[in-house]
Amino acid sequence: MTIECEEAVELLAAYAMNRLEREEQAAVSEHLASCRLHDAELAELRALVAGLPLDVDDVAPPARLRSSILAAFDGEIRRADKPAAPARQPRAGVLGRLWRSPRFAYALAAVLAAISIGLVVWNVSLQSGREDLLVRTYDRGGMTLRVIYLQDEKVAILEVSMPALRPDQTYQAWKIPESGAPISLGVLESQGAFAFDTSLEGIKAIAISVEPLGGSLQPTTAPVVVQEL
Amino acid sequence: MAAVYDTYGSLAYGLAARTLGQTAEAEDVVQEAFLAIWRQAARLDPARGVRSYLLTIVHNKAIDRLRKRARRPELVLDETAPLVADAPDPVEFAEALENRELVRTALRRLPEEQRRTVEMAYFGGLTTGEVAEQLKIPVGTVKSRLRLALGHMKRALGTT
Repeated sequence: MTIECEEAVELLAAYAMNRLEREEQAAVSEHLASCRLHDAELAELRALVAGLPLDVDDVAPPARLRSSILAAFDGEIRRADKPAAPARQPRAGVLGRLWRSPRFAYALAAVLAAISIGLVVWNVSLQSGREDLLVRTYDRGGMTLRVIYLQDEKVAILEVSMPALRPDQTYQAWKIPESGAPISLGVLESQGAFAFDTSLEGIKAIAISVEPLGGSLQPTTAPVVVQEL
Repeated sequence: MAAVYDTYGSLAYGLAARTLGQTAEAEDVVQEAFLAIWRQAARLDPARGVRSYLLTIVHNKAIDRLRKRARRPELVLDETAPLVADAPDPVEFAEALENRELVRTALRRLPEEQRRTVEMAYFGGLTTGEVAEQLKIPVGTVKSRLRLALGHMKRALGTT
């Protein structure tokens, strides 16, 4: 089933809502992959669809839900913090120290869950001396950034120590590609280790800029840290 | 996590309950969504905010369960839509979309048949064909009602 622009326009709202029949949904996707004329309209429609849930009334959930969510959350952290029966402890050094940091446990758990690396694999990798590890360090003017990149798993860990910012500001990390605009990695606090499920293939540097709280789509200030990879 | 739950828990549960009723299933959906948010934390685009992600996930999971309950085939979720920002610039009415009252007013002002169609398709999780079947109207009419409804909504939010 193939469709032309005119039909795509007719179907776009139902498509953005994901309510077309399977075959039609696929046909619109196929058309959109080769025709960029609908990009702006689709972005608008998706934004509108994302706003539809705001029509609902708040309903106070049963108190047990809160305890249940927080218990499940704690369980995830514990699983990340205490990997299953390693044959021996992780090596000391950067990773060993990171491993023991509670913040790293949070970040690591997010990464583990996001990219489905088993803890066993993680441990085996740690113990095998890891030849796929890229480490770069920036330390100037009170700003330190250590980039640790696990090439096989495509996980970048940014360990930062930077001055505190005003409450309406945040640090934001960016991948600087060989060519093209910076790509946001996400916002960072001024201290801690943050893991990102991302590839640094074709990336020449990591930069950190100060952005308005919540972050920006593109950097709005000159970077305070640029570390080449 | 506790702070995020205290801020958005009632809204997330309200959304799940609108689709699934105040049931254990609605609670499960909310719990799964909060954990999913946390697991995806490193991938989230900060510019889009936690609320939008959370509600999209709650909605998708609730619809999934509703369709299973009704033994309807699963909807194919557009993986690129909810969690990746693909718009080069934020849409013009993005700020209005953040305002819950404006969104609710825009929806309440839709012509009745459009509002009902959005209700059935979006909150009821029915495909355009399934809505057409229930309302006994041509499927083309359902598609144009959805298009007109979102068009109305956009104009209402764009002029605020």
